Amino acid sequence: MAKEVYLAISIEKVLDSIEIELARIIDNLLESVILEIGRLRDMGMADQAIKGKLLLDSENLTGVFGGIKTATSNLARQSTNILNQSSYLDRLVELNNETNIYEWVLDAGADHCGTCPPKAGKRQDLDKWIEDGLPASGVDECGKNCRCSLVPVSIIKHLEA
Amino acid sequence: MHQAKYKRLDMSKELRVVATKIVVEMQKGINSRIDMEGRAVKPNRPLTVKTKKAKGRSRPSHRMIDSGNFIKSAYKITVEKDAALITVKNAKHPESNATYLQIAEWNQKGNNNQSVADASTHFGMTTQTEKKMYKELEKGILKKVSKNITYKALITQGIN
Repeated sequence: MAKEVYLAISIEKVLDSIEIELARIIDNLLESVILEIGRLRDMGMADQAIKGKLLLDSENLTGVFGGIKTATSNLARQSTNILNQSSYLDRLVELNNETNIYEWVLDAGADHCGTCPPKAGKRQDLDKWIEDGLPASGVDECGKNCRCSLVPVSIIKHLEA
Repeated sequence: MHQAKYKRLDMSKELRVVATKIVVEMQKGINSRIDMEGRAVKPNRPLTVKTKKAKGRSRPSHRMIDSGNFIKSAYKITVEKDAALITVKNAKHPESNATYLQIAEWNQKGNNNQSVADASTHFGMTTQTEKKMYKELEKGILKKVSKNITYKALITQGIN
């Protein structure tokens, strides 16, 4: 449990993933609608009648729209899975675009190992932290028990504002 | 490939709801003297209790509750389309020389006056709340995704 006095909830990656998947669902639906229109035209149905039938199908989620409920439910469920599996990194949020710099912060309530305290206050790019090892990634003497955190400098600024 | 239209979801409303619930849980935790890890919060030290009694406080041994200003006014929620941030205000507490943030930090992490052993995780979120939050966001996403598909436009696009 975090000892910091801020809590950041970021669903940016979830929304990125949804955006891609939703675009795919809508594109597939449009393809199906076009095929269905072609099929109904071949049967001699007028466009106005086709429109009426498809609107009714869309209201009831039947016909070509039958699979949309399952697809959107799966999409929403998938978002929860992403959130549940979200790593330490996904929970961090940047308040603005000016920086991707994170500071290593020791947990005031924890006993410290030999390798963490020298890192306290160090600030660097997130990619560099990933390269060097994130808190509790196992690179420090405290291993998975590490209670240190990486705090975006933007949040520190926000707290000091 | 047909270019179907879609908009990026704006989840700020749902995120604010979730963040508010988290704050409420923190307030309830302070009020019921249970920390975010489910442990009982230690009472104030005898000297503090004596001072609070002298001030006529109704709950002199109760940590983080004195005038009630902190629990009511300390939290700040900032929301964007895809993120929420819950912080403690760095504003001066009206009945103290310290800021809300300092009080929160002392109680969360300990300091010279407030030993680390007395500190408790009053700020944070329980695993149970975290799971509830995901479910709540899932419901919101489903609603938004469903609204995002404009069938009439798709049908018109298909016919034209």
